[in-house]
Amino acid sequence: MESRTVNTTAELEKELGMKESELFSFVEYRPSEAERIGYSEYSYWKSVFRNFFKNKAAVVMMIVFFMIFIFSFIALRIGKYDYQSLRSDTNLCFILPNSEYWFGTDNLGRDYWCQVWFATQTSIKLAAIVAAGECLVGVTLGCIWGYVRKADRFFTELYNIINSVPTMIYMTLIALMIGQSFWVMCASIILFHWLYMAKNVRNLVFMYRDREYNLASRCLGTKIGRILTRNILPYLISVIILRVALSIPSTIALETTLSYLGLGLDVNTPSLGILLRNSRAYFLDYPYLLIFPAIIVSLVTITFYLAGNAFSDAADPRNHV
Amino acid sequence: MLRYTIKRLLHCVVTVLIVVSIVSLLLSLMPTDYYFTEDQLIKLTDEQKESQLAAAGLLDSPFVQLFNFLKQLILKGDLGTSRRIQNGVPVVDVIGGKFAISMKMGCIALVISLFLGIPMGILQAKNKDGVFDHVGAAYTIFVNAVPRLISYSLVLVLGVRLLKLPSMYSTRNVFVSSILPIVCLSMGSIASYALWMRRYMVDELTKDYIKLAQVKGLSMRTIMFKHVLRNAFVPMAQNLPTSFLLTIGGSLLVERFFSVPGLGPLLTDSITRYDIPMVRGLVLLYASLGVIGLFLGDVLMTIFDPRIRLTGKGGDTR
Amino acid sequence: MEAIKKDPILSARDVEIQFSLRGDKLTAIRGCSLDLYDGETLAIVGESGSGKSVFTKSFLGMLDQNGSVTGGSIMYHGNDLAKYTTEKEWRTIRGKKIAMVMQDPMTSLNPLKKVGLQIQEAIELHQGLGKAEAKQEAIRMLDVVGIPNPQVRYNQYPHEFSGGMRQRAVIAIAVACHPEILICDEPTTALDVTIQAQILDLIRKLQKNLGMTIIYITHDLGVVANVADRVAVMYAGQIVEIGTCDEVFYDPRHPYSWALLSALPQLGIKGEKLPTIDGTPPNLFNKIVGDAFAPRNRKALAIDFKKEPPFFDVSPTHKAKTWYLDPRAPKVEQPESIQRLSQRMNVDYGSSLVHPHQDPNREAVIEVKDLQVTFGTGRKKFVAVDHVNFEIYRGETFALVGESGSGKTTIGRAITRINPTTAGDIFYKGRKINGKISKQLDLEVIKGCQMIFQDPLASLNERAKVDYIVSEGIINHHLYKDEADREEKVQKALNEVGLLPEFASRFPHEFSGGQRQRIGIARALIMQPEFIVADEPISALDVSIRAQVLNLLNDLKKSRGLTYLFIAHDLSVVRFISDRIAVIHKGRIVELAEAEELFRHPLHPYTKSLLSAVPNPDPAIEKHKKLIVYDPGMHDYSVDKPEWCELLPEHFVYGNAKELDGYRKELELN
Repeated sequence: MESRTVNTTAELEKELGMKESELFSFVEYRPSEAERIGYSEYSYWKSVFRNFFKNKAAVVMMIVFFMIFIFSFIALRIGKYDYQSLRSDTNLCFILPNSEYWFGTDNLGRDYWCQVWFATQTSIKLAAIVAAGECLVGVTLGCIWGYVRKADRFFTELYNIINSVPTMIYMTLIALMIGQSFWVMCASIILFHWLYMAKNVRNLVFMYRDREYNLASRCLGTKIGRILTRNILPYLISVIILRVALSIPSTIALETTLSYLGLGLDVNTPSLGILLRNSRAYFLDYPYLLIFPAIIVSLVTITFYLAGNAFSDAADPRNHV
Repeated sequence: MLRYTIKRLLHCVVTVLIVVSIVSLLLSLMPTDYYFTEDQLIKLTDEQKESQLAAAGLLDSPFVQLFNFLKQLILKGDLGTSRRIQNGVPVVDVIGGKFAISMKMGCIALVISLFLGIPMGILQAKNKDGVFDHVGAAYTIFVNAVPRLISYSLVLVLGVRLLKLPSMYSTRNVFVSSILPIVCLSMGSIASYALWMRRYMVDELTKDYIKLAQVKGLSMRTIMFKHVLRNAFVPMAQNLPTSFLLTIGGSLLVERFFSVPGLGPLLTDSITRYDIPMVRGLVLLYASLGVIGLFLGDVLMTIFDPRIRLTGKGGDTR
Repeated sequence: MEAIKKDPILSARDVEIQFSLRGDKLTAIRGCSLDLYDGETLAIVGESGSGKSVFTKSFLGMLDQNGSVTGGSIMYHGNDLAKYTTEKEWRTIRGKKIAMVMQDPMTSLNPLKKVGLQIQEAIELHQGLGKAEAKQEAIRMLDVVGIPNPQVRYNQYPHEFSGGMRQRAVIAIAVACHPEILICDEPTTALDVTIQAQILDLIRKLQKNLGMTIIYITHDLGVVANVADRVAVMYAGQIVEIGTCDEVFYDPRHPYSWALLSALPQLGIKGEKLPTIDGTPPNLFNKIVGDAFAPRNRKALAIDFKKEPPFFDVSPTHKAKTWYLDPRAPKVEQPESIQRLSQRMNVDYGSSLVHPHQDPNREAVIEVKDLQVTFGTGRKKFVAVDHVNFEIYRGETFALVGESGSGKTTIGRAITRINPTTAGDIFYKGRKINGKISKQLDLEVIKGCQMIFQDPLASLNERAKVDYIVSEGIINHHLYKDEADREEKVQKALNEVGLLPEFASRFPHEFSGGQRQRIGIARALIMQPEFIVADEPISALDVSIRAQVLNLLNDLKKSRGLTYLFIAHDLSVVRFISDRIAVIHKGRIVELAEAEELFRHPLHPYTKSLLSAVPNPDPAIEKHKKLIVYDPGMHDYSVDKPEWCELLPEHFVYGNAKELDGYRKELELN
């Protein structure tokens, strides 16, 4: 580790443009400068969004989704048939897609185009309402579950009871007892699925509850409500967004399953499940009956799945590199 | 250990009984019209309906019904007889017959998904961000994001059109007609085993002890197989029994979709036909499977992880 | 040192290491050179972020994935390690030639593999022994690193080992590879003081017996004095001074080395300010011009801001990178505390101090009577605090010292009503404050007793602005007139702890540890408390930052007449700051005395062992110190019950009649 040659005075003066006496004199000390050098310009949310937008697949899918969503309204208007005035005509059944029937007709000779787009809208609407409901109920009860020690036992048992049988059983019961409609379906999915959101929130609240900054708040006499909303909830946002995003594909899938089994929406509300149920017997011979709804709905569900995962990766501080 | 096991099992029994009771009480809220076939609804007079319901004990208060059922179950181990599904046959026999079909299919599907899913996850983790990882990720995204009904339909169309496989299950040609249902059953679990295995392995790879093993001079390959694998398998082990038991319990959708006469459709059929003994029996079965799965998961985890001892409260191990 | 005449076995030249972070390039190592000689122990000292760990990791190819060596060379046996990229190449070095012991023993062993097998793995790989022989060798290695019962321990899992034992096992793994160079990356930072001393002893012994070359990385200068032959001081990705241990301790030349040494509380004079280094180390995302330390140097030269200084030779073995050594530079005196150290002047504490607790009119702010705290129930019951008694008088700093798990934090949290108590009473100004209390008294306690927390990272809400964090307490109880008044109060509190007013509108993650800790103090101060529980407020901070916080606490004590309960695990800090010290072991206070009295006449064997383990930044003392190991089994309390006894005025000890007699005799002898 040889020492470098020391520059001569002349060299130094030339390089730095200052006199030797000036160079080797003390400068005034400014404590605020010392305080300032340690700064970092890191911002959590900025990093989250930067990372999210780096994920090209998710961003592209997001754009595709919005296009589909907007187009679903346009599609119903530009279609040649109105959903409300559809009627069955056996002479027209199984017409392949053509300029009159853009997606062809189904087994009863009804225009498939307006059915598919109507079904897409129904599915998105259902998924959005369920996601909002789950989020609201799940976060609220999850916070209570996690923060109030006495409630833990109760919620844990409730979780075990609901979780130990397939929720399909409860769904079937509700569908048969109360009836089958859009809103009943929303309610019953929320009723059983908030628990998963709540469980997730609970684990996180549990984790953050005894962090030092919350002890500090307790020491300052902060009320529980404020601790939850100001200290804990902001940390959960990324997880909540992930959950909400993932709940959309799973709700759409659940709706198709339930409707297919005859437990979901009533036959007159065209939803994806109903379409597939109706065409189950025919799409082996007329695959277009499957392909059109399948592509549109899959685009929607894959969008949210990808976006949710991309967001949760972006929100993980470990990935902020 | 023994004391804990007994305590835990008792807890399981109580949970199962609570679930069964809740479902029974819910059932009694259903309109009694479902008790009759459409023919009967038209033909029978109100009095006749009433007397039939009374004979079946369905007009008693829900709690009395529940109490009678529990008494039978606990004292004699009797689940009653089926009424509408297979008239007069004991519930246990009805379930037993269907269970065999579901179990065969479930077991085959499980073995396939274990043998494909776990190696797939390991390979993905090993080649993280490589081509194989991306292909695997695309598969898991497809399976998880696309509604099952659609992916089953695709499998059906492809299978029938390209491979000329039968589109329905039939008892005459069990082997060939089981192929598509089994593919559908394993499709999802392959994806989830691969997904979890990959995630756990990748998580493990960030741990400090991996760095020490590297510093020691071990190759990544050795580290993967001698260190990471077992550690990543611990959380997997916990979920395995549950998914195993639920797979053999039959998948409602797959069995419906391919008309497999298994357990899956039985439940909804029993509910829609108001066959209360059947529903109770099935709920009892599903709840037991679920609870036992959790318990076995914990047991399995203690086998793999010496740090975990089954003592104290059950929740602590998870 | 004669070793320096030989050729180095490893020599790094102008190494530059960059990390890509959030789209930016961070230069962690900015042209660092180092020669390592056979058989020496080289200590690399620096604060967190100085790059000490990154630099040595590059010798093993163990940089994180986003980092790479972007310049310079690392020559080792004729090969340039900086050019190594594949795992195959690195495996010719790792373990075989260079091994490493990492910081946290709790996470560096595979939890699911028997400890013996993890050692055996290394032996089979590097010594080519068969299974049975390798097993014998592994058992022998366990014995070599001082693990008792190696036969039994061989078959145990890491969770059955204590922290200290795990670190011994990690060392056994490293040593079992028979490396030429052993890198110890802060191997004792996560351990208790007494365990730390034992591990240091072990490393020294192994080095002597096996003739390894050791690179010892640490932020603690006290530790360095113990183990090192040579010391390198790193700052902002560069080595700024390197020399033999004596040279760096007794005759340091770089202003940063001065600052680092004189900021040690061990060298401070009680009642006086510690010399501090303001601010925090620079942000390495930015390009650094000149001497990186210049902005924090009170006597910086103009050229320091313009041009990076070269290395100047002080002696053949001693170099420093500062313009002060340029013949054209004005002469700058070494700080007083360093002169004291080099002239071996021991500081006499004590006589000039105030003794509030000896005042007959003293007022007890906090009284703790027979306090007991237990966690869990049934078989899992754990007594965290067991019959603890003490008073804290107005205006004093009362220190509670103990190792991790001793219950010291629990006591602090019981006083601030965060943890519930099981039995006993706590009084605040004569009123009982544990258990159920009235709303009004609760508010009074909240205002009167505040707390400062240990971990500056965990103790601030990352998602709230500093403004909210600081004013949280007054918002809760509406202790301000209007918005303007609140803002003014926040500004005042920030100013009091030496932070800039503009910080109020920023989020905590923009700040360094020391700044965050001061935000935490401001948050407590805004309530105008009389009494503050400081729970290890400096143990997570870098040495240079510690002094800032200690000074701040002392200033506040004077200006506001505060009373402190200062919780710590490090006796050296406690001696500097506190008036009285209570030593706590396994939930019980074993000894309580005035600070100087405790240091002069420690009675309880546990106190003695703690004192013997305290690292001292003086190589001459540190290299010859004797460790006293405490074994709780030495007390036989089966018949003769122990009691809490005031042996001398204000000096309490816990022991049974026989032990107390022994202590009395000891005192007479002195």
